[in-house]
Amino acid sequence: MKSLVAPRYRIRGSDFKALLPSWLFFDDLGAGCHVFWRSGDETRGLGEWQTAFAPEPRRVWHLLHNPSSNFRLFALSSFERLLEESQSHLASPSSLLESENYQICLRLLANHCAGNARCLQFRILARLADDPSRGFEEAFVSSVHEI
Amino acid sequence: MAFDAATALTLTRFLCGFSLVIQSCEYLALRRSLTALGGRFSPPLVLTLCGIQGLLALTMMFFPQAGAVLASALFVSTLMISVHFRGNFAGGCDSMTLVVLSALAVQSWLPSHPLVAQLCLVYIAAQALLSYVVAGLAKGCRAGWRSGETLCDYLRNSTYGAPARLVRWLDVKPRAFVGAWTVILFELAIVPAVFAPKALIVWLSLGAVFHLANFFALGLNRFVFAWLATYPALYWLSGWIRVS
Repeated sequence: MKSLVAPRYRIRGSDFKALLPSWLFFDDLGAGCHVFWRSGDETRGLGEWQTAFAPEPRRVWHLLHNPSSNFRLFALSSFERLLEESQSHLASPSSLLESENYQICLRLLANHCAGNARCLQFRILARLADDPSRGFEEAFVSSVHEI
Repeated sequence: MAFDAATALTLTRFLCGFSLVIQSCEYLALRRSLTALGGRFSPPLVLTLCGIQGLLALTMMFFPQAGAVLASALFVSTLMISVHFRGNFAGGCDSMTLVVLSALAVQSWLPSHPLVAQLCLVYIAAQALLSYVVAGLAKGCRAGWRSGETLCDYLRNSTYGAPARLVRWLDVKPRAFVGAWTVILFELAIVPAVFAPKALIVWLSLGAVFHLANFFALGLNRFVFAWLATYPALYWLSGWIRVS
């Protein structure tokens, strides 16, 4: 069982990507992912999968103040990044566990979903092909982590 | 009142300031989550920065001639907040805010040069124009978008939480087809519209409706104000092209 560790933040060139806009919005089906989590303890094991960062109903005043929805989209984009990163760590999956992205995603789930749970596991569903008929498929399942 | 470069810049400052006030209030409302998450910089520093940014943005809204330091400070604080979130917090919206702020900052340092003001407005307008055209072309090149399938699929399966009633309504092929082509043609229509100021007024009104619709469908509230802040520059560019 892997423990949750504090992410080691270092400023990188990619942190300045907002300076180079791409303006490609919603052009392909690949974007977006669904995250599920489950928690438990050593004695009872892990519970059922639950949806993480589920959308809230939209209200008119959210036009002027919508912090939780924007945070949700930020969180989900972190999981999308993790998914991309996991492809480059196929040869050594243990290095992915130590990556900044992985630790941030774990922290997001531990803080926002898992509450008082002792251990946590998550999985990411995404589109593995640009084919709407295939829908979302399991793209990543984490180890069980102590939190 | 003639819509000259000075008027366009004043309106841009007001709209960009309003957009930044909304962003700052949202960050401050998320202080617990952001503190727990951490980031590139220390969370208390970033939250303080967000508070200062909100106050500076309010100043820019109501005192547009407040000076170069103000616009530059807003640019630096927005960039620092983006870096804190490893690139951006709200996607393309952060980029557009930086585009507008960079131009406002440059113009504020050289306020007595009309050519600089014009170049800054051209830069904002060109980026806004590109944002619609690139998005429209990218969609138009995809078979799924041309058939309406992708639009429907986005609303049905995306993580944006589109209202169920809208998803059901668009889950009919001809409606999805018309909806997708409306989006594509609207985004591309900015090119001819920019050459005719009267047509552009209609297009900009539709643009505001388009962004509001995006908010109701996808919840992207920040995009509404970040893009509205570019509309004075687009309108000014249209008049400038006509005169030139």
